[in-house]
Amino acid sequence: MKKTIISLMLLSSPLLLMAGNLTQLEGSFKLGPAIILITMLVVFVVVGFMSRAKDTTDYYAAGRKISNVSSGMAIGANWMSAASVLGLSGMMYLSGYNGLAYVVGWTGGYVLLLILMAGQIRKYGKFTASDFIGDRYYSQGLRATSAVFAIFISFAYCVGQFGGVGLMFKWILGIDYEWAVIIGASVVLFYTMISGMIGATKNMVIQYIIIIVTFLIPTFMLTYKFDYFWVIPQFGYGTVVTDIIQGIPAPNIADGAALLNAYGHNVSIVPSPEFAMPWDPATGSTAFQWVAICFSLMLGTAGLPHVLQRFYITPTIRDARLSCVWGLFFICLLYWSTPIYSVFGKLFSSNPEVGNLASDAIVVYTAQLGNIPPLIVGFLAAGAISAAFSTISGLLVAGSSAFSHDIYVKILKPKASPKQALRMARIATIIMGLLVGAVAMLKLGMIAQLVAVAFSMAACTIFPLFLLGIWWSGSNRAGATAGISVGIVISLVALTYFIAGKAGTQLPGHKFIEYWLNVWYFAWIGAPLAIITNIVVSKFTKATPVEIRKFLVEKVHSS
Amino acid sequence: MHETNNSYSFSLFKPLSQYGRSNRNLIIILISVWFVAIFGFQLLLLILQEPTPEKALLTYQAVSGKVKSGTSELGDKQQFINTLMMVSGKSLIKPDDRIILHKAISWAVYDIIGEEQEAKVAGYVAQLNETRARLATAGDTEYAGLQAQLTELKANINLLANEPTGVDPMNLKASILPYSLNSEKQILSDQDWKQLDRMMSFYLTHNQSVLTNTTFLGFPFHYFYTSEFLLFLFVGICLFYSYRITQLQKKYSVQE
Repeated sequence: MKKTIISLMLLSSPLLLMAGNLTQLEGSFKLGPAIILITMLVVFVVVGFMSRAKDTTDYYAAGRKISNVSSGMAIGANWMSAASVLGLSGMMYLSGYNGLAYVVGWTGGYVLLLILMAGQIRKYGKFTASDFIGDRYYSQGLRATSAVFAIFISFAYCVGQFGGVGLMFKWILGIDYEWAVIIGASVVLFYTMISGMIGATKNMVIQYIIIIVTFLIPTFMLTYKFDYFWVIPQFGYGTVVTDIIQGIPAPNIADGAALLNAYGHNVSIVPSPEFAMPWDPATGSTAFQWVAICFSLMLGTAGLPHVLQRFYITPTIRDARLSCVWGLFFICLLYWSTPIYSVFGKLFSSNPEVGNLASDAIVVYTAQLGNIPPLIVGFLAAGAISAAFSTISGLLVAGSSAFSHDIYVKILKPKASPKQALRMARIATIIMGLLVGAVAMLKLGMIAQLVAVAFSMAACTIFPLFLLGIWWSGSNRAGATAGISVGIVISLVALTYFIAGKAGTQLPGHKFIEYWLNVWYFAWIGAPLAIITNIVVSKFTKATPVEIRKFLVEKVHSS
Repeated sequence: MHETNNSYSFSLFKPLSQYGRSNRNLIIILISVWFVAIFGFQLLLLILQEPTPEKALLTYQAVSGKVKSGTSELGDKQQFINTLMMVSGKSLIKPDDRIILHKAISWAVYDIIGEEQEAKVAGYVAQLNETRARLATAGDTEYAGLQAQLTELKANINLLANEPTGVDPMNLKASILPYSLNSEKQILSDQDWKQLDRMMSFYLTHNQSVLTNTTFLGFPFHYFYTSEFLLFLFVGICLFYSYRITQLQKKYSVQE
């Protein structure tokens, strides 16, 4: 296996040398990045094919053969999606400090995940989120409901990823966004189908390294070239933020020569405190929205089926915890660096001739405008696609396993053979991939925002069931049913108003709903209401069966 | 309450063992630190913040009345144009507001440069807008030629307008000026002036406090805290929890 990977790398190196051609900001075919992308995809598919799933255990949970550092990297790669690599910088480029709500939300949630969930999920010993919910709440109905919602959540999350893949394929191939989505979706579907999660996990370690290296190299180069503290660019960009606030009125001179962007513009900017000041009026965001987004994303992080699923595959419970810590650290390496692209993007596009750039592609635009060598920019774009691919693989596996394992095997056809179950998982993957691709073409929002919908849905439905299911034996089937119903109703209200708005229809009270129950952050109220409902109804209905409580006490919280 | 068997009743707040109680205390402490660190700080920002005007707003407010009433001198008009361009150079301007802004800048610039130059500048601006529109759909071969045309047109506009408007050719405003002009001069109505006053306050006032004005490692402190420190804190909390829970398990001989 190692020999194969090394051989592939050696074979591909001449191609990579050819890849260093001149790139343009957008609109034309870019040979260099295209060669890098194709090479990378071939490596992924070959690695995935060589370690493809042989049975359902392999397909769902990688045979529990993964070490905690590798698992941490896989968590990182699984997590570091197009939303993290592309969308996050885009949000900060567009709305400055308000974009940091996404950074904090997507990292802070791991604290909840570790302290409240990771070890206990592993102790419970199930394969999927719906497995846990079905067993813990002794309800096939809840198993099916949570499976359906797990599919919806994976679906919503995937839409943003496919959007990111589309943007990068469009940038590299110089083709229409729609065709870019179709090509990208076809490749990622092929890869996920032949590999399953075991291939994905092995690939994810490689993918993590590719993502983080390709993402970090330009940050060193940008800070070095533009005369900021480059040794640790994650700290060096602070001065750039201050420069943006105070403005750089005249050319920034270093060693007697003005620093220029790729268009030959001086690196200067009018004072723009709105970029960094909290909830600045010009950004159109408020303090409430900052808190609501952050809170929703954190609860969603601890309720996402494909994230929770990572903890079923660690060898031991201690490894589940350690892999979570490693995972967070690996994620933070990226999140400490994402603002660098947004601040330099802001600086380089301050000249009116450049104007506002497409924010979801600001990472590659910033590298291009900063005169980073085309080969490096090509790797950066390929890394972004890699990030989207790894997440899509995890999501498609989570979504398809929710269908084949939790609905098909557990409910529709309990006597299905493992082969039939695997076939059903693959069919579900294809159908889901096609549908997601179709929705991604509609361009319903920014990548980070689209992904935030999935987080709010997870926070309103799955998170309360896990939180109370693990930490309170009194939470029973009736309470869980009532709680998830509240979560679903709130999710549906927010989604209905959003879809109606996109279709040009204004439903009654749309302004109120758009602000207080916005589709990007409705979990701020949805999740607490679902939890309260679960508690209240559980208190007044038949108690949890003693065998479940016994299992919780003796196995999950063993002492 | 229908509970019939309490022997296995368990909750985070009512653990059944000493280990469970230690675990509960650890969780409550760490979640409290986590919660206060994130939301407590944002609350503090909210409490301490004060709407703080940029210097350009104060200048605008000092000269706009005189410019509007026609009692301004050359310096006042130059300052007026310069403050408008400080907003025009920002990227987060709503399209409707940009229309008013460009109308005001054009009115003031054409007024200051005189009728003869006005016709020339207006002609260049019309060509500039046309060239920019073509640039958006240009192929690779056409692109370079259009870029050269743009550079020439901008230089022509700057040559005629920089000096009378007091714009330093080395300053970013020299780049902003050609893109802030319309190809014709329009008179500003009372409604336009009201809009202009509103939007200048809107775009040039920011929520600032001691937390945003203090610099730490080059960052504004609040930005450092949110984008850097909180992430370190999260990793630290997770590390501490993993270490501490392992210790507790050893102490209470908990087998996993």
